[in-house]
Amino acid sequence: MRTLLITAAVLVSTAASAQSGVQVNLRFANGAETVRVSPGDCASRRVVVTWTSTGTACQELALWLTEGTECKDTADAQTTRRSLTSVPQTTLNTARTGTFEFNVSELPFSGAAGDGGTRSCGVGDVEQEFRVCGSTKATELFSGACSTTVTKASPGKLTYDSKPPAPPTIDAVSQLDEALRVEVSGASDVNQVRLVVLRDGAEVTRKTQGLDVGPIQVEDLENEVTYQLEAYGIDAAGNESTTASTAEGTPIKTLGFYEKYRQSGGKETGGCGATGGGLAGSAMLAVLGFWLSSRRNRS
Amino acid sequence: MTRAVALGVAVFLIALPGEAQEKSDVPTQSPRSGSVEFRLGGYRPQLDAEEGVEGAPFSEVFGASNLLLFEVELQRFFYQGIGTAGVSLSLGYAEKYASALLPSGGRAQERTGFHVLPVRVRGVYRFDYPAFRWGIPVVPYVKPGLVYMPWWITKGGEPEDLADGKASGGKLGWEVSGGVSFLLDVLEPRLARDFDSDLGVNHSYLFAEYTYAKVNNFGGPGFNLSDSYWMFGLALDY
Repeated sequence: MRTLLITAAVLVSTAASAQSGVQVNLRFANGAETVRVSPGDCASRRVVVTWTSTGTACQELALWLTEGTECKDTADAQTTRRSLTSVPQTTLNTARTGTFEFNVSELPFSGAAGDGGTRSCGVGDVEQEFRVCGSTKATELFSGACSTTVTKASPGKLTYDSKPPAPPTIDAVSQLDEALRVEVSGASDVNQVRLVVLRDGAEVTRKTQGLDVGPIQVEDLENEVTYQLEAYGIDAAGNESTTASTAEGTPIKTLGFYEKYRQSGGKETGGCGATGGGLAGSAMLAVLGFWLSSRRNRS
Repeated sequence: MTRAVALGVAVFLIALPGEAQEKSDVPTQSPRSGSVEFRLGGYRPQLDAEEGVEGAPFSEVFGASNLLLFEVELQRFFYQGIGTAGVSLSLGYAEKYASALLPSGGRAQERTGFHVLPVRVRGVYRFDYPAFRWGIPVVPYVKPGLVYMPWWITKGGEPEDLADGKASGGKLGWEVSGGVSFLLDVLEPRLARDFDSDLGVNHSYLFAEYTYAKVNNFGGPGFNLSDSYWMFGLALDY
């Protein structure tokens, strides 16, 4: 009996001990773990981060940005960092969730201009990972003492992307009546395609759509005129490829069945016809009336 | 060989009544008030037969094959005695696509399509007295009525409207369908009874029917959507 009680006590205390830890998550808008920013965001975009916590912390939640993919125990331990305003211990333990913000321009680039380097927010042709890091310490359940172990928050992952994607490929151009249908394929980092249509080098129109939507159809063109087509790729951060794939297309007159029929002397000019529609409608109403009023019969 | 097969079928049909007879008077059968039919068949409007049309534009664009027509029909019975009589309302859909033509001949990369949505209002008479009285599992029937057939034509996925004509409309006409149903209950009487007690389906049939339809606004100008064609399907009495 005594052995049983001791075993039970050990199991209960183990479970309680497991619950004494603290856990913090750092996430972007809509709970996203990752976010991509572009040079265009450097001027004024503020990134909002939501923190959530469970357990009891015995000190504030320290927050910082760092270049790279690793969050260390403290901001001081990181080579490149920018400290953010901490979340007070009381808020962390009572509110359980909250938000903080930073400017994209605050991202800590190594080799920045101040260090004699050239890297900074706004510089092109760079794809760099950053982390939004946080750390605190947990309160021990039974002793109430502050743990000596640092608890790191699950970090938010941010990518600064100013590297333009490769231009997509124009696979085929279909000649339609006063229109062209362009099939485009692109690399995995291309999200959207911008198709620019030119006539004798002058832009006529442009159309932007998702790469996975299907072929791009350009309407209101002139038959028997050759148009130049330029396809640019746009990635998730909004960077546009610097060069384009090119092709040419010429819309042509086509005959659908109706036009062919009319050319062959057909007299159909469409329309439902008041007589036909009226008769059909009346007949249907009569049947429905009968339907609703009829009695159920046995077979 | 053909005679042998015919003889076999005849013997089979003669043998079935006894089986069916045994089950047709089941006292727990639910009331029967109507039927629902699903049918499929090849339909080809006689658009090339219109007076004044030179050549065969429909065949030239869409080729020689039929449109696949699918229809659903609801029937409501008002007489059940020596046979069953009622009215029916059906809705169908058929389409056909082909490459558009180039003015110089040949095919374009653009597609053109022809679509119809026939709506039928018909009377129904089924001579099912022998089936329910003597268990002969073959039910001939006739369905005369009116048909209204909305149609539309597309090119490149859009209506192919012209300056002097709209590429959509509707045509009214009349038609008569005649067919033969095979009462499936005789094959699995117990399953048929379960079908009735569980779902209220009194009888189920496989059928073949032939339709003669005159759909040209009773001789008016324009499209002639008439045709004579076979359809096959499944009918469930409820």
